[in-house]
Amino acid sequence: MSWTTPKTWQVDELLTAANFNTHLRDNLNALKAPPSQAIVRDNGAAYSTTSTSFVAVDSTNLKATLTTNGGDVLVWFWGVFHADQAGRRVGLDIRVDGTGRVGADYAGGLLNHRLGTTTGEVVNLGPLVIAGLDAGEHTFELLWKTNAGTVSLHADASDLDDVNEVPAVLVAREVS
Amino acid sequence: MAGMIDLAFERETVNLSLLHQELTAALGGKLVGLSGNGRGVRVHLLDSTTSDERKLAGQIVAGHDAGRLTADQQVERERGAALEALRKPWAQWSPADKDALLRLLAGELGLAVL
Repeated sequence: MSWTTPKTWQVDELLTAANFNTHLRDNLNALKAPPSQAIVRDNGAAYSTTSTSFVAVDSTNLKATLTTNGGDVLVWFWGVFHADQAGRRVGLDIRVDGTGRVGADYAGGLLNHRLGTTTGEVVNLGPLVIAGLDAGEHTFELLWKTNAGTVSLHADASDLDDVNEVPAVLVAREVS
Repeated sequence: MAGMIDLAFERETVNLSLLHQELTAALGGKLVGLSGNGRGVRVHLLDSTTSDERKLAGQIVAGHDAGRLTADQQVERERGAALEALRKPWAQWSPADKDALLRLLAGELGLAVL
């Protein structure tokens, strides 16, 4: 259900069912169920990278797509990471509509986390407001990089070790 | 990303760290890195790579032996084995075991271990 900018009601204006349905019912329904996508990714194996520049984790399956009414979108991600050695760093960022990255002013990304051990640890990115998007279809894609070595993101419902049997979660939801 | 190209290969088993070293040895700074998802590997290269260099990257991926370890991985494996060997009752610990533990702890703390 799409959002319609509420009309300004006039004195002595005839209240019609059509106007009520468009400006009250439909808008309340739009507020109740805004464009939203929650990706709970089971990749069947961990993702890994050695890239020292930002690259997509999975440009097909860890990319949220919303058709928005125009305004702000809230994006957030969480996942369990490990590295081949303690002290590796994982940088995370978000690419909107296939170009650039939200944290482009920061070489380390929107978040840059030191992985303290070679066992899994949770990293959260966001919630992050992507402001002022035009109405229409938008994509929100998770990017990552490491400073050295190999970092991995668990996304597996069948790992031999149940502490690593967790999804990678990416959520996007229009909020205004 | 801008200035980069990705080469995608279907390979289920990859030692990403080792393959990274192998590709770096051949391509130097033109290799940005690798990504894997358990079914395939993407090689991230600067878009200044020549067609011959891309072909070489493909040959290296095809010839990659995922069963081999990098030097760091070998060290990590040996460290794990040394730790495992110490999992026994304290009464059974020899002076050599205690010395081995000290060496492992020194390594964890970043101190030089000769």
